[in-house]
Amino acid sequence: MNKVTTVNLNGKAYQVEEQAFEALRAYLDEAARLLADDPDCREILADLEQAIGDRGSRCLGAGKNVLGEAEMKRILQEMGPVETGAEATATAAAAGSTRDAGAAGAQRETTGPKRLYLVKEGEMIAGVCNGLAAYFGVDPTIVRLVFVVLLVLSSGLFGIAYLVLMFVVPTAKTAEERAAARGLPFNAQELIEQAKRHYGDLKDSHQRWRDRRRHNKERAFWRPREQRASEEPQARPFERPQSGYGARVAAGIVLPLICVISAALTVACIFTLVSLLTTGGILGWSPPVDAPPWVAIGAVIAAYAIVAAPLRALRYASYEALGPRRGWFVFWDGVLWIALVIVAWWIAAHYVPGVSEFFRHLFQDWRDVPYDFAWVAAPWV
Amino acid sequence: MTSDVKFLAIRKGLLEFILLKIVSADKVYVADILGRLEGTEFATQEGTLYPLLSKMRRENLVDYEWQESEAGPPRKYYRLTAKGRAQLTELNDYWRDINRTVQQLER
Repeated sequence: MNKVTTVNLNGKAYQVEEQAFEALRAYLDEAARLLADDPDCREILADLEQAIGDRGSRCLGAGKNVLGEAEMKRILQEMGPVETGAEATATAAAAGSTRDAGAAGAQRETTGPKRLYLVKEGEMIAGVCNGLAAYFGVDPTIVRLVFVVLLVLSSGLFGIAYLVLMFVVPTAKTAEERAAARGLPFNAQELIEQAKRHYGDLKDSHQRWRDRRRHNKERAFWRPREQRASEEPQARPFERPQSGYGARVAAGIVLPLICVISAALTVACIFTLVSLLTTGGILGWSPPVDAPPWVAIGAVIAAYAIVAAPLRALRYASYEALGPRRGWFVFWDGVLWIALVIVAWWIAAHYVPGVSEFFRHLFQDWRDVPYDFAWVAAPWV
Repeated sequence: MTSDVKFLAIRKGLLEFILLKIVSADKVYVADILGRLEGTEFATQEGTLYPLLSKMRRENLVDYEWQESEAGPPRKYYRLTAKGRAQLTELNDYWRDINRTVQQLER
């Protein structure tokens, strides 16, 4: 038994097994990479998708409507590796060597060293904490808590670190990369190249949009009217099947609610942790004297994880229901979460009498701590 | 291995010429081209063909139009442009010259 995904190959939907999908995606990603400099990149990719789809249709029939991994691999084998126009007509030496280089490149990508990736499965903003968690092999919740604590203590300085990581760390897209996300370092050169590529992407996106419009018009010219209507707007490749309208609306309503609740939870958790760390108790109450402080801290984190787990599940379910265009929702959900945490923290510290009193004490205590955190406490002291 | 790489280079260099020849005979779409080349020294795959055809179109050697097919979606049918035809004539002459030289050197 295998999970089946629906893919859109140049405007037509195909059902493929998960492994077949990964193979297809690897092929098309590689093709897109090789053709990145080709002015007709989009058009060639559409042609390739069409050709793969045609070959796939030939494998399917009345008794069979899903493409398996073996068939997909055979189809991709028949398609052959993508060679760019320049390569195909290059001179003898160049033709040989670029082909070898291409093969070496493919090799490096599939068996390359493990490294830090943004992990998009269950991310809150861009998957930085999620990626770090995968990298260090710990629960993402812990990384997020540490991050938020650092963010508050550094008056938001860590937010910049987050943005930088978000910009330079590549996203784990293929199964290989997701596996590689749990591992070793990625070097400085790649870091710079990633940043360059992202900058290039920003610059190109407008151009690409224009190219695509032009391309669509061109195609529409040759096609009969009814087909043109069914084609617009041109669907993106590899969209997941859309869920019902009702489910998406419900998800849209539920998401902010979950966001507020989980932000409140996080604030409560950080508050408890900080007060445990500094005063050894929570708002006057202190744990039994003989229990070491780390037991209390562990208990708080465990309690947080237990309470947050169903919320998290609900949030991922909502993301899933939002369908393929959920990217922005996920992003803003994460931003809203961080904003709520910070605002709640600030309001509590300034206007809730018990809490502001507590902070005054807290930061007075903190001045005795060997770290120089006094400037952090300035607003409250 | 070394000779194989050399042959590969020759085949690659000639592929554009071969495509011009095939497209000049008739309006063709990619599957026709693949079928014509199958079993020959120039057997090619889509992964090579599409980028090459797109390059040739940019160089204004071939052009395509969409045509309905009885089964499935419309297809791109390629044909030669005037410039492509001129280039083909040129390449034919050049190819004849090369062959003559090679044969002369054998004697």
